[in-house]
Amino acid sequence: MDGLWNGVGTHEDRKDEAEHATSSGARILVTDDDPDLRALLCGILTDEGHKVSAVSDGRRALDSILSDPPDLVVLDVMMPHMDGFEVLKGMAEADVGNVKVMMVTARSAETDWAEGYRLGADYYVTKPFDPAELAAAVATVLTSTKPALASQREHELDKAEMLSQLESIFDVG
Amino acid sequence: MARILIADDDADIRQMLVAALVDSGHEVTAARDGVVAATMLKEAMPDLIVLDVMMPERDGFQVLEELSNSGLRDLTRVIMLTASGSELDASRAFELGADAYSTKPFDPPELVAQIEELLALSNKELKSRRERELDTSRLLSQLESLLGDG
Repeated sequence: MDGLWNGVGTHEDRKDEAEHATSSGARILVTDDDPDLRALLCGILTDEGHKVSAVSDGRRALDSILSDPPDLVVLDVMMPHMDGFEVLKGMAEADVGNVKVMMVTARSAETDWAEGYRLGADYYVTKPFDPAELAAAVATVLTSTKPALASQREHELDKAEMLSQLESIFDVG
Repeated sequence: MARILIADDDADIRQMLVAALVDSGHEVTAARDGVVAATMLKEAMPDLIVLDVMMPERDGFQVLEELSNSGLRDLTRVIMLTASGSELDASRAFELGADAYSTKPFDPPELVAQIEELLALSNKELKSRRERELDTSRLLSQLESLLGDG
């Protein structure tokens, strides 16, 4: 019976595991001022086997990221005290390194998207989202390298740029 | 901030507890059955486990028993959750080394307070608390059987 417990790791092993977090068992910080959405996000992510903590505003998020960097931050854009963009700026200034960021925003605010990417977000999810879709997006972000996410992001930015150029051409015409 | 594992097969209870505990500033993981819970405990021991008694695959008592047999019991704190208010369940939980016991339906703020109380105790304090709880529950089940005989 004790065979089940033989492999319990030391603290160092655990640290090592955290650094190699893949699609499950990652440390994720959820940042959202809406308690219902926070509960939903945390419920989905714990059900996927992740270690989840949560804060309700951007300032607390930045404090937590700087003092104990998670593998991934799920970041709402519109928040009191400090919004998601300011959190991204704070992270860039402090050079937190390998923390990935997934922004969550309302569908009506698609212009946020380019701003978020410019400030270093790795991925974008629009509200309302389907739980399975969110879980899949989180798995993608966790298993992709930052360079791979960056090249995908550049592609998306190029596409957005082309679309807005096309729109302005048609507006003029 | 403490690291807490919630093991319960009821998705609603899981989500309610996850929400209450992350909002209290803790890092939370969840498991939907006893086998998943045991695997997660093997990977990284949390500071506290909220362990449902009735779960598929492996029940909460089995998980607690394995934890005690493995010699790792003292690395964490255990609160058992049960749907029945049976004194027998409570005494079994304390015999197997649970720190606390809570009956469903529970009030989330009350359970969070109970969790904070356990997190604040040292290993030594936890050990004497367990001995006291075991004493009380043995006394209660003796009383129950005496009354039953009468």
